[in-house]
Amino acid sequence: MTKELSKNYLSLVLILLLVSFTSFIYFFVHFSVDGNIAALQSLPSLKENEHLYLNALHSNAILARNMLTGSVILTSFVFYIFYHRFMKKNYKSLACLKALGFKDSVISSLFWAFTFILSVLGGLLGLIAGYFASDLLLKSGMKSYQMS
Amino acid sequence: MEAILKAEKIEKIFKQEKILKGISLEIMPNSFTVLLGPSGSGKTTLLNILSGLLKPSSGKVYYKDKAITEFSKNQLADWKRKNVSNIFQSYLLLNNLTVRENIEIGMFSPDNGLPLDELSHLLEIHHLLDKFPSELSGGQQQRVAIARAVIKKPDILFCDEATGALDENNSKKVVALLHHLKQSLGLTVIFVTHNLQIAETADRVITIKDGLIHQDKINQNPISAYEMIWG
Repeated sequence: MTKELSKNYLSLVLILLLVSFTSFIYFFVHFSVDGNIAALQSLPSLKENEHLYLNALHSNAILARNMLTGSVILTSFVFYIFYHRFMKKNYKSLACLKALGFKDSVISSLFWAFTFILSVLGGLLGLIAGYFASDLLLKSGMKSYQMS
Repeated sequence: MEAILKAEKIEKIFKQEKILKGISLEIMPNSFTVLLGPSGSGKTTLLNILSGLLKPSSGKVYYKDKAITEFSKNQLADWKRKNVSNIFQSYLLLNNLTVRENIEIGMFSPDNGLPLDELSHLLEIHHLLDKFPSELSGGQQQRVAIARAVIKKPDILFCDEATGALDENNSKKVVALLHHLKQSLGLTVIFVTHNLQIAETADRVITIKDGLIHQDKINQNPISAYEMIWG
């Protein structure tokens, strides 16, 4: 069954990209926006440019969280469509496994393991991309708002 | 001798249509029973209920003393894995696995099964073990399906039109093999077919018609598989 799953290269690449994108948005916000908002809010008073920068970070955070929600929904939907199509196409193999006496939990664990591997892989890619992208955005944001 | 499988007043309703109308029967161990009947008579539905693949709408199925119709999903899966096997008309092999892997997946425990080498020689598929199902003929695929079914030494082997997709020679070979395995492994074989010639080879023939047992006959002089005359 795992072999059958991994044969769907195009769908797998699409899912991996979507998971990476979702993870990227999360880590991008986490590394660049959240930390800086917290740092700015901890200051006793803010200069005008710092205040503007804080506002910009807040709107960035809202935008990123909306995108994250959309991305999670889209990724879940694509996962659902992928497994739904896979089961429809391979119902005979699944029926064969059930006739051989494989428990539902054993069969579903294959799908969970596959989802887990894809999520971890995509999550790691997103983490790495998010880390470097956040650095770039921070630098350009600080430059725009003349922050040191 | 005690029956290995017992069905009590089995009824099955599909979309408000009664497919089985209260069938009761007993299957004795180490017997070759044919369920005979025309298409739509309910014989495959009965076989699927006896083998635990379908739940009856009412009635009970007993394996030895245990009511398998009362089993939970997990208990039923365990029972299927340990005690029974199915062979289907369309073989149902897993296309991405080699012949060897397809056979091994049928093994309940590596310690209890039949030796793969011995079994593959008996079924004349020893030279195909590293091939994939798509590289095999229909007869070869069905022999692989038989190997997968019997490698764990099940008590009961359920065959649903197991020769339905095969030509005369391969059909005779498969029927002969099933009789041989019944003798050598002490299997109980329940074989669904509409082929009267296969019925002639069985110990007992149960004819199903309109969801009921129409005739239940002990075959006093079963013929051998190679004596079958294919129409």
